[in-house]
Amino acid sequence: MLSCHIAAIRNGFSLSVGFDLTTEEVVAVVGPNGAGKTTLLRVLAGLDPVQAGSVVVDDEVWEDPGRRIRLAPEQRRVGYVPQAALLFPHLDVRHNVAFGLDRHQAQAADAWLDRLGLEPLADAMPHELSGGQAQLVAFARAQVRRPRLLLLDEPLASVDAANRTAIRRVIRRELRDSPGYRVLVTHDPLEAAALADRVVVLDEGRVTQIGSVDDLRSRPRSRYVAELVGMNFFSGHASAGAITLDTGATLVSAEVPDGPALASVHPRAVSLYFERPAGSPRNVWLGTISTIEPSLEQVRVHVTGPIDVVAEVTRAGAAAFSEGEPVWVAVKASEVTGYPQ
Amino acid sequence: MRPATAGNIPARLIALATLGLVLLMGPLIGLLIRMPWTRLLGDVGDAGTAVRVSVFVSVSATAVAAGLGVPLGWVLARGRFRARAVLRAVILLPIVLPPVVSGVALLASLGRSGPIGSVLGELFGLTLPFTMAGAVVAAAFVALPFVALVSEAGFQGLDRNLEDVAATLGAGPWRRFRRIALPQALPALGAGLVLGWARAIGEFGATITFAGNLSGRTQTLPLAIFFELERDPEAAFSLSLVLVLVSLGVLFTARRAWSR
Repeated sequence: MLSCHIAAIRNGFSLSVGFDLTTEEVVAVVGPNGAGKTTLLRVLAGLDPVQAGSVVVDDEVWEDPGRRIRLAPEQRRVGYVPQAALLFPHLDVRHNVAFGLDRHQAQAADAWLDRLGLEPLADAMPHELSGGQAQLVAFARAQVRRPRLLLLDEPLASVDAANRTAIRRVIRRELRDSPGYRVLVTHDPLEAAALADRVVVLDEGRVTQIGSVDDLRSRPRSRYVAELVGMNFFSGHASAGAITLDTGATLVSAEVPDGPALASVHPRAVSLYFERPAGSPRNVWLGTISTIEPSLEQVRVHVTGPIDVVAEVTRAGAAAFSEGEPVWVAVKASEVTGYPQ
Repeated sequence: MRPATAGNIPARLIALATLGLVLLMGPLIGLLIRMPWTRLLGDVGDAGTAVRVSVFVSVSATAVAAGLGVPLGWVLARGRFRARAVLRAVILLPIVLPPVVSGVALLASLGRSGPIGSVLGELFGLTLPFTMAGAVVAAAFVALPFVALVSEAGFQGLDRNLEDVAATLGAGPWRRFRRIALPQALPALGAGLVLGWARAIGEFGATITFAGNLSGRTQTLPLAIFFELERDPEAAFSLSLVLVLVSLGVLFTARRAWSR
């Protein structure tokens, strides 16, 4: 078990997080820019000190200012893959990978180059590599020491779109095969979903939610998480299945416990009509289309009104709508996932 | 970079800059005009001893300055202590100090009866004043600041994140310095060594004050030129040309090496 419960203050920014993780799962730390993601990785690697709390890995105390314990980075068994790969510019690929090895283990570097398909590049210098290749070399350089804790900072940020899928597949496979603790930082929910089992959401130096990608999707606990996973998000007070939102409007949910409540609605469960719909939907209101936002397959239609909501429709269906027009919105009560605040 | 155009430099600045150039180049041109070309080789041959002393002293002093100045530069660049500004001022001191004052200070401390000199004499039987080792110490004293400050600037320019990555790969402070910082800072360190060497080969005041003017031991080329000026001015011109050419040569090769 790795236990990290720390408070760190750096240049006026305060990071205060607590989480535990096991070797069974890959954890993604997700959050907006400036949330403290990189600082958290640097703290775990021992590059930045903490003011309070502790980092304990397998009963070995890595850091505990209260007991004046602090292992230097070189004393921790970590592998750190920084965001920009940061290969040593004066060493070729083979010597970059072998940097963390003793001389008599140097053949382990070749084994890793082989494993990641990098052996043709063994004699290349870092400036000759593409972003994706550099990322894989940085990954091999960290993995070759068989770290107890593997840290990846935005592993795909410097990889161009054409190679992203291939690199992500390799990193996903390697993360699965790594025996130790694995933490990656990303601002991209798709990357978190592809690579991680559990997500720690960090915002302004605080953990706002911890859960699986599915948890986050069905029960976001903040507007940030809801937007991250593309869900509609509401907060209010529930009573007998009706949630009175903070705006005063009411949303009916098939199942929600009484009391302060949150609710999420998938954009695909939001239906749009030109005429008031007849039939069963419990939540129906008239709104105005504010923005139509096309993506590859779906179109996200933002509707303002008594309840602001986003609907996802097909590209063909969206052709009938235009911005500024009134539209009827319908959401079935069974599609409103209500849960306590 | 956009090409320089005369149009955006005011005429009066061009005039002043030209005057500055004349001040810099005039004496060199005068030297060339007065140069006794026919006896150049003979004069340089006669001064062989001083040339040898100069080469040995300046190279040894540069080596000492490198061995001590690069670590100083590293401490300034990476150390986390309050007295850094004070330390930097102390290191700068030999640059602003008149060289003769440096020589007096060396004599006071490292002379036979000086606090350090007496200890060196008693423990190791080592005497520095008026010896070749003393000339090396004097030249190293004035060259060290250049090496230290240029190294510091070189180390400051490095990406510290690379050293952080090296630390996570198990590299302790020495290995991070030796395997990551030093190889990357080599061009800057080279520039510092060239500057230090240039200062050492031109050293006059501190050397004559601390090490004297003993032919074959402490009489370097600048000292030989100075004393030749009274005896045989034309010989002094020949030797000066040698120093000018050697300095220009080193400057150009070094520039090419570090601007690559």
